[in-house]
Amino acid sequence: MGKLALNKVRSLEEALSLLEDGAAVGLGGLIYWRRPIKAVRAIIKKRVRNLTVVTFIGSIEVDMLAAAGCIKKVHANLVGLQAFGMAPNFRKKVEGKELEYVEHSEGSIVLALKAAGMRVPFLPTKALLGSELLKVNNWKTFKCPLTSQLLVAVPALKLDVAIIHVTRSDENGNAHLEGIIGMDPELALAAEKVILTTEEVVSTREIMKEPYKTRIFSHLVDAVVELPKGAYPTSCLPFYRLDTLHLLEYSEHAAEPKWMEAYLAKGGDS
Amino acid sequence: MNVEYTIEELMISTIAKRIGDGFLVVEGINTTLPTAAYRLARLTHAPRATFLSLAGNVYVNDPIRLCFALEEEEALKHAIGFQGSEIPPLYTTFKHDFEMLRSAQIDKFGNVNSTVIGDFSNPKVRLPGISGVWDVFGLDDHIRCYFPRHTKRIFVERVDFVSALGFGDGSPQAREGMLGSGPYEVITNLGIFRFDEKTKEMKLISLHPGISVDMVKENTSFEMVIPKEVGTTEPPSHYELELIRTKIDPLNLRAIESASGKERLELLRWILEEEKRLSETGRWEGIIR
Repeated sequence: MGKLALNKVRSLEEALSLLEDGAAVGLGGLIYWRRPIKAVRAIIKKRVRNLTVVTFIGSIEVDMLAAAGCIKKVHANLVGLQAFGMAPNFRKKVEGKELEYVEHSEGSIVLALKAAGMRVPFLPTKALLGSELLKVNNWKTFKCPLTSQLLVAVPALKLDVAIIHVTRSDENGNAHLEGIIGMDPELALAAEKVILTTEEVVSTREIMKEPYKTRIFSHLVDAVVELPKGAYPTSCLPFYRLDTLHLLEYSEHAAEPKWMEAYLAKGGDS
Repeated sequence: MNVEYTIEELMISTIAKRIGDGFLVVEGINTTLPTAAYRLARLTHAPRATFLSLAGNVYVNDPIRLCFALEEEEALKHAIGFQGSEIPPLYTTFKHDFEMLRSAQIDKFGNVNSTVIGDFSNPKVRLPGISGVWDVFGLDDHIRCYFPRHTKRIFVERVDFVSALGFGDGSPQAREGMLGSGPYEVITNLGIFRFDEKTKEMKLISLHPGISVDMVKENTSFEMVIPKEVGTTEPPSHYELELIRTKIDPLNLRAIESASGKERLELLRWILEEEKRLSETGRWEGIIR
């Protein structure tokens, strides 16, 4: 049976059996909007180890995973809590060399995912030249075979699993994203397996009422997990907004190991 | 007539004057002053400018208020449309007109660093990252940067790490093979700076009212080019100040960029609590159902 016909609704535990130690995992959303926080909490509880995380502007979710010791490498164009400061656990682990941070540009992280989705080893860009990051990332420049101009080869970032929190999805994984889109369609294309966590599972007819909101399609999706408040304390419009006071509290205390331990042990709904 | 204003308000007004009517303005990450400046330009001389909000890469068509918790909803309520990964190619193909960039360090040749303080392999501080500044520096003409705090630690002789290349060592070959003409202008809390056409060194163009050449020198680690003729930056008008204070930024987010430590934290907490109160009492409506 083709992937389109399957009912993929699973428990979070069942879905996360797709994620093994050492996997490369893409996390959906950006900054503090529509991040898969409940899935991240479950990854931490499951004690998955040595993950490589790929994300577009990482924030609290990367910091939580870093604090819990789940990750060995992060590919992102920025990791921080923005107005709320730096991501303290992430920073500490990177400075202590327990965690490798491959710094991308806004453009290169997208090109890397697109390349993986297209199954080509790299995509070229005219940006990025002149930066010392090319050297430390070990990215190559080359002469264009058609025009001889100098280009940068951004290596493909193939993902084992993408975890994306969506506004609503049907049982097959046709999903609406309301508002921000981020790089979620690229994450889904770059990944071997795709797990959607969703505020609600609805009928396909319901999805069809607003087809222009469908950004993830079922042929890419392997598991759909109904998870209300799955992005909290980040936002998932139109259900809830970013809890700024929660983030402020996090930024004030996340560097304290005891506080952080208690924070990670909590359920995460408030 | 003397009008009292803060340095952030002057910077907002200065940036706004550079936004032409019909410009597409791109917002950086957490860049409050340029965001306020777009709104100001839109409400004054640039009624047909459009703003590409970071809150989801949304084309925003109205001069919405500055906020934290409601930023995403405000952007969506006033959206012309959404984009996803179409954004990075925007830098290369459909050029945007205006963006103000910020970094942790800048040197006299306009190279910027937001990667590390200290040595890369053994850093004193691992910074969050350079993000889109890296793309823009490699591609665009007329690159503009802003720094709410002009200090010796930020204006350094040579950046600790070249996250994005400005004019390198100032030699004509430094940008060989790259698109775009490199950095163009730097706006700080002290003045306006550009780069010498020949030597590519940063030079003073205009001092803000009340700021002296010595103050610039004292707060810059490299030798700034100081021409004989230096302008004075035009202060914000009464009308501009009224727009900034009542329509654009009534909660004073603009003060956060240059505040630090405890003062910054207290200001941030006050703003977040005020936003919450306004939305809970129905005085600031989002789109949460």
